[in-house]
Amino acid sequence: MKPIRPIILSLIALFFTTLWSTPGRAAGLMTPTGSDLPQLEIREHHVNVVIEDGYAITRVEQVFANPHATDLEAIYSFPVPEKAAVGEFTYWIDGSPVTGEVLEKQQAREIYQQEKQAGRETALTEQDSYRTFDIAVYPVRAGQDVRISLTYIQPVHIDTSIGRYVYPLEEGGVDEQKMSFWSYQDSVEASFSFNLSFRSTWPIDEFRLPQHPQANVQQLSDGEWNVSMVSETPSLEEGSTPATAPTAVHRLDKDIVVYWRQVQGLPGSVELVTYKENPGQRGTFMLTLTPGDDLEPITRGRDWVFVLDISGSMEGKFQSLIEGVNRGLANLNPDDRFRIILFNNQPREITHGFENAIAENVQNAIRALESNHPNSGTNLFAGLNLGIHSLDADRSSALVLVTDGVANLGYTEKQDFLDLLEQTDVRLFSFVLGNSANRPLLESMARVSNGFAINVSNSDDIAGKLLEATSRLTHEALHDIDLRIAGVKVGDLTPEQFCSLYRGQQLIVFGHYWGSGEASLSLDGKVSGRHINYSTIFQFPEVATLHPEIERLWAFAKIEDLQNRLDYFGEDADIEQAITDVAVENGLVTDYTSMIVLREERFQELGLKRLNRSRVEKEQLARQERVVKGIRNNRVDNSQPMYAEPRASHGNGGGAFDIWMLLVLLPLMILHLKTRRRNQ
Amino acid sequence: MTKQRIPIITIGLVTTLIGLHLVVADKTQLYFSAVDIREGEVWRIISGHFMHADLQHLLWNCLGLAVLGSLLEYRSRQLLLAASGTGILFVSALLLTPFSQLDYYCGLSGALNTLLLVALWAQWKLTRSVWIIILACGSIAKVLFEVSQGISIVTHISWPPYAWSHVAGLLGGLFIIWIQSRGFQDKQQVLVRF
Repeated sequence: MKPIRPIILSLIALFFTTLWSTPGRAAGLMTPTGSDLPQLEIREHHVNVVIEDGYAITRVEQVFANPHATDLEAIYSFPVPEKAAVGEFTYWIDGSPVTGEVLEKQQAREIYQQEKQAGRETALTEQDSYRTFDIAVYPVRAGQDVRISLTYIQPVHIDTSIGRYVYPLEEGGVDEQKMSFWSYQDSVEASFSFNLSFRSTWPIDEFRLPQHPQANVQQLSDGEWNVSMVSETPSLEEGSTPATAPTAVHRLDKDIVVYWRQVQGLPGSVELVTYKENPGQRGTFMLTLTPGDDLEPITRGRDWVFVLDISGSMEGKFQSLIEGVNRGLANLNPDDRFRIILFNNQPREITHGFENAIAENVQNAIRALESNHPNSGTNLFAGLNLGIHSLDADRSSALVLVTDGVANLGYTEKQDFLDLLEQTDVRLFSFVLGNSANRPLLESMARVSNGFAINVSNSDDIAGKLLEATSRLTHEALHDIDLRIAGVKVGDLTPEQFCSLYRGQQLIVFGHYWGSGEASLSLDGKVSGRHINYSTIFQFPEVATLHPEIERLWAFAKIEDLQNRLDYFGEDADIEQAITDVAVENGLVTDYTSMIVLREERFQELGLKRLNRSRVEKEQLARQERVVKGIRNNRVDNSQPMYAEPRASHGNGGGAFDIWMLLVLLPLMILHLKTRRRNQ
Repeated sequence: MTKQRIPIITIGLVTTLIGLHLVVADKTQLYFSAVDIREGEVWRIISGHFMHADLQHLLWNCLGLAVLGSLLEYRSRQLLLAASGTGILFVSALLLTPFSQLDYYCGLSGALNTLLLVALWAQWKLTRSVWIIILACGSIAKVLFEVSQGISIVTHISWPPYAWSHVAGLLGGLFIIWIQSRGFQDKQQVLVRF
């Protein structure tokens, strides 16, 4: 039996070492490069996050200031958070908050321009594909401030008992056209705060912000934690003047990553969160399956084909990449085989076919790698194509792709990539570096190949991400997943097709239900060809009003499904219209819809219904009610546990002396000294 | 009367802990890993105990080593070396059994519990103070609480706590005490006489 974990660990390590690199662009106010337009200021930036019941609600409130003598337009851009549904955008007009409405993208843009030309207050939030959310606010009056807020929700995944939340700020700098056109102002001048409230009945033993050790982490009660960071300019006494020009209190150039670790040994579980206003109405649910740790370790050897991006955007990461490769290959067993493919404009292999990992071959590969320099574009298709065609059909193989960019040369359409991967039975494991990589493409490829894509922020704990990836690659996976719910009518399940489930991953399913009562849940799948079944029973409630956000989360997941269908079948007006309809009905900003704010009376004059305002009010009330009602346990498989084993957790551990030991060490020292003195 | 001596072994061990933490970039190569040890990377049996997950982990263990190491080294360098080695062996033996399902382990606290028990016993032999009994009971109760709850009481290091290593360390301490006691009974050579 040949354990492969150390090998995989070493090899994956090399990719994560690439993350210590020169920082990319940041979130911030944009001004056209070289223009005469004066710069606005970000006076305040406040982030409030609430994580409970399986999802996170992030509210970002900002104040933009115009110290100049003319009215200006503010354009603020920030990276798209992972699986984030933007459903609330508020602009304070005449001191009162006005909530936005979602319209078809072109219509929203036209209204924004029309209002702007008329000199009326207006604001617009658009999504620029997978890259950024862009907020435009007009006008920021001369010498005045404007206040806006944006709220988005996203499911929160626990992976191998570790939860992770990312507030993305760092822009990867892969969109060269945009970078050359805009300059960014990412300094917050007066006040910055980040506040995260966490509530869960699953016990947590640690919170951690690897890149923000100054954060204050407090456990408020059992199951309730708070993480906060504040930086403000010191207040001046009346009559005094600042000695120097104000400096930034914070720069929006680094992601904030928050981890929390569940206590080891918690059971595998099924959790249900629902929303249903009336017994006769359709309800919406979010079902979260946290499997037990019953997937066996893989013991057979494998071939590894590494496809590494060395395009221009990898500049600054390349020396670290070489060091990582060196360390990784040095730890391979001589029986294991590897080959390395690099790609920028064109792909090329730097190894000579599969090579056994003996010292001489490793040294040659490193020398070959060192002779390269990152530059040019990203011909991802050609790199992958060469990787796939280099596989040996007789051996168990895996393709590991590391990229931080977007495909901009050769074949660039998603459909081409999916066709390529469907030709071969190979698992693709993608490591998506930074916030600007084409995540939808990489995630779709992983889905088609039954692999996975891991998103890695520059602020991530590298050792932690390494453990996460290793844990998945070293264990069997559950394939061909089929989930059925009987006993209560359900429909509109999303995702429509399930990916393979790797060790430590959760399965989150959204859907609608009609009626109430006992339902049976059955999950079937295959592990190394063996059929596996898990089942349980639980209750769908007749009425549940605490979680209206579930409707938006369902809508967002549904839109992802529709988008996947578009990727397979190409342009389809019906599917595009379906996406627009779902987004407008549920008030979501997408590639096809935008959110606009106008003066309250203008909504009426333009005949725009205030659907989203009603939804936002309902959600805000529910949030207040949740605080009053306290922490809830959403587990529903207590009576018939679905999993026999406890959930997976990282199998590492350590022990430390602590402050309690001083109670032992100090008296011991005193006794020792007294004895010594007596003896002397 | 015991001769005054500079605790050079303790100073050396503390310096080694700090140096390894600062110098080693890829700590995964030195953590204790049962799978890797079976593959031939036997240095991990020792090195894993000298590696630490983060600064807090390192500092608390350095403090414990400095105090306990000095106390034992004052009595006998042999005793310190024997207790450290036995602690490391007992904890490693536990980590190599199927009972421990850890992929990786790091930290000296398991072995420090051996030093703690031996230091308490050494002090007991000299003073017969009731305080030693109280301190020993408190230390054992703390470890039992951590094992039963699966948590560490105060310290929050970036790796999950593994309290069973402390149990193994205490067993190592009992082993040393047993050997020493036999030495007294048999009037044979022992590591130290009090």
